[in-house]
Amino acid sequence: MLQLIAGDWLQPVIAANLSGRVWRTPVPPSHEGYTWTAPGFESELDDDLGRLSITGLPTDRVTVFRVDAAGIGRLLTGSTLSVGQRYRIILPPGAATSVTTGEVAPLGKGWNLWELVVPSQVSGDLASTFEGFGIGLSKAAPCLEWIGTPAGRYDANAAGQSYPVFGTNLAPVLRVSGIKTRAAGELTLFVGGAGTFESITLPAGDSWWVRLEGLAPGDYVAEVAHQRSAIGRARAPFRVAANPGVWPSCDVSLTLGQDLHHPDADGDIELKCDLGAAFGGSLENGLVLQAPAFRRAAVFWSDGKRRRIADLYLDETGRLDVAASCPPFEGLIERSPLGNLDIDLGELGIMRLLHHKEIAVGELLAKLRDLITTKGANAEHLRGQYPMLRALWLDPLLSLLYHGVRELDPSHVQDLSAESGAMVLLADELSREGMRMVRKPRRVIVIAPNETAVLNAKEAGLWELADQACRKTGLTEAVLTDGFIWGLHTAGRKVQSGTTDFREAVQVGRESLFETFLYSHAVTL
Amino acid sequence: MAINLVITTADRVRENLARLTGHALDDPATVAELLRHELSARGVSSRRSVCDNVQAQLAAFTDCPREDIRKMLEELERSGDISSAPGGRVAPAPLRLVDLGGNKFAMFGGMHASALRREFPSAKITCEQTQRWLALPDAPGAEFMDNLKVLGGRVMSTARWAGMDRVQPCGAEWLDDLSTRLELDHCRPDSWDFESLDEWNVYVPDPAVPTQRKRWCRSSKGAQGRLWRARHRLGWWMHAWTGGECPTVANSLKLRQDDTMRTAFSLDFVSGAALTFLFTKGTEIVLLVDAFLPLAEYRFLNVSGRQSRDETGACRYRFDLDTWEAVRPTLCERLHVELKDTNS
Repeated sequence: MLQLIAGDWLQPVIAANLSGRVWRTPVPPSHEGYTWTAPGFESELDDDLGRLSITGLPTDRVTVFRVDAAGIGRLLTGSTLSVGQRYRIILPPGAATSVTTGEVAPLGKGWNLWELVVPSQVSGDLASTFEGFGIGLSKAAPCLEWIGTPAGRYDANAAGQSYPVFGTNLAPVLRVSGIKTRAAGELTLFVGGAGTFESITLPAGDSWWVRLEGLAPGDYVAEVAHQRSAIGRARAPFRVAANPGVWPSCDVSLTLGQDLHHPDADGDIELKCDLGAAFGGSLENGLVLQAPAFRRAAVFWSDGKRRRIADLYLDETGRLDVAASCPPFEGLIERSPLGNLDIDLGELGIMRLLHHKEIAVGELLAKLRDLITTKGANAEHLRGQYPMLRALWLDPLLSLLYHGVRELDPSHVQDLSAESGAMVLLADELSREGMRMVRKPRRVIVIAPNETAVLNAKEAGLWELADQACRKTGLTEAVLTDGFIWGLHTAGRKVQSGTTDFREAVQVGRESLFETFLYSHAVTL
Repeated sequence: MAINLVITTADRVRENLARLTGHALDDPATVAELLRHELSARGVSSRRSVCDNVQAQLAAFTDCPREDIRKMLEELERSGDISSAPGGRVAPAPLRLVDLGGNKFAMFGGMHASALRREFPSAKITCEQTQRWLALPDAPGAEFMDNLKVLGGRVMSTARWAGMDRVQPCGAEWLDDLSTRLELDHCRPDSWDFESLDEWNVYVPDPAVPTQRKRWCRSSKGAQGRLWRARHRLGWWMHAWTGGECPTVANSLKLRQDDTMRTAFSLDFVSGAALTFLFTKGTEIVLLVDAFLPLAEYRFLNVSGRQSRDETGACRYRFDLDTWEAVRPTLCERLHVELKDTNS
């Protein structure tokens, strides 16, 4: 995540959005300049990001942006405006009162935006406003506009200025205005390109419409010149192509790592996969959706309860890095053993990713060892102090073993035997029934006050308590543990099962014991 | 081939433009068509720029306020011809044909009508304001489907288009879902500091107030509620769901416009302040809808009937009597509105 800062204004920007393309974001006017930072990575990146800093806007004069054909304001280095051209002018605090032409919109903190098209006949008021702002006007020149024949597309030249591309089926019409002539021939229109050239003298008047017929595919320039050199020339580059239209497609695809997936005939994708790496950031190419530009993607995560986790938009190229755009939920999806990630593109289709985490035993073992190292000693002193033991030890441990933990229904608690001094919880298990994710209680967890009680479960009253809880909840299995010694009990059975010391099972060289422990106590995946 | 430069007149150009768009220049459908042309040519643009350029095209012939063009652009975004993203950016949407049966299709997408006529010469293409239809003389054949594929288009059912199976109906369950989302994914009050917003309004579903438009109350007058909105200085609305306090003092969930509409209908229902839609029964049903509908239900109505919008912003839908029998229960069950026959 990057931050764009201008004075006391701050805009977080997802760094992935900036990779490899132009990204536009609105900024307020500021005389303090615009700087980038990377919170948490200042020491590594601030030098590089410093090169992107832009100095602030002056408060003693206006700042002029020329609006190009794509509607983008380009900062003008000089202060000379051209007739017929659209400009956006940032007015510093206090400067707006002298403006009487065009639209002025407040930008906050006294700054204003003045947008105008410079008219061919500049009034006295406007001329004095320009003069007051130190703005000059270029010499008078005709104004050229393509009117009445919409372009098929716009291309851009090397300088980034766009020009229209007309189809061969339409004769483009050029409107010439901004100059008044008294005699025919004062103005001449020249059109050249694709190996041809033609000109026409324009009759006396102040506005002309000229239809350009017989244009073969190719690049052209239309230019209007006046007999007097005091009046400037106007040029309008354009292109003619057989079929200039470019139409957006309904096509959708999904890339997970190296694999590209296409939808079925209905537009849907259903894919069994492990999303852990994609959301953990370790999968090259991540999880990337390709669909029409600006299409909205509603992202849902279902792990027993379906919830909308993000409303995202594909960018102007039709690309969306799904995993990078759901940061608050990365951990949730990465940790979950099972779940459905639905990316809903409305009528264009649903991408349904059936997540099934592939457990890497070595990775899990390392996490459990880390838990023992960081919390084990404290947890041993908390045996029997259930709320603290749960928060510090049991919940993280059961989470690593892919169990959800929930309290017993109050109506089930009231008749349970209290003699053992143990606490009863339920371990949830996620499963997929058809396409639906279902979270159900799988086992009763009886948490004993000490190790001896687990090792002598019958005498300590744990069997009785487990049987009662199983009857109440309709479950058949219970885990008996003090947090460290783990045993299983089947409801109604009178046989002592073996127990495993979790601390021993995770030790180096005891891998087979660990696998037995996992088999008994982790969620079956 | 030699270039031929011909002096012409504004009237000639005006006639040609009307022929190209298929409508007189003072017809709103012309504005819609020019917006499609402009955006098809640009690919991606800003709302402001698109409106400016269309206004410049029309300015030579007729006085069309930019506000009217902006509203038409919003209508095209809502109908599905244009896609929009935060920050006022817009792009043409791909071509989708919704199968209405009888070789007739409702058409959605940024492709303008003159290109459609060129690509589908055997089809009859008609238009009423923003809504366009395509009728074929026979069942769509391989050639038609191939053309459609080349253009990136797709045929779909009305159910797929509307998407009512993918979104909850209005009601308590929708509100519960919002509250869950508020817990999981809320914005802190200071997250609004960087938006330049006017005063917050809160939605109060008062049964004595007949329209949703008038149920938005200014927070400065002490109104309380969970659904909030404020106008951004650049013109658009921002919406939020809270636990009951203004988003500037409490955590909030940012809502899209579509979610806001679904939430307003849900609040109306659970507060006993459901809206009443009037309909008139004759040879057809004319339904007056004086509210912005959630997207799925809006799309459903749009392809089920014929829509027209009056100057107050209210929509009139015309339905065949048979179609009305299917529409009526859908409206009642999903929006919980009351339908009242003006004849009774």
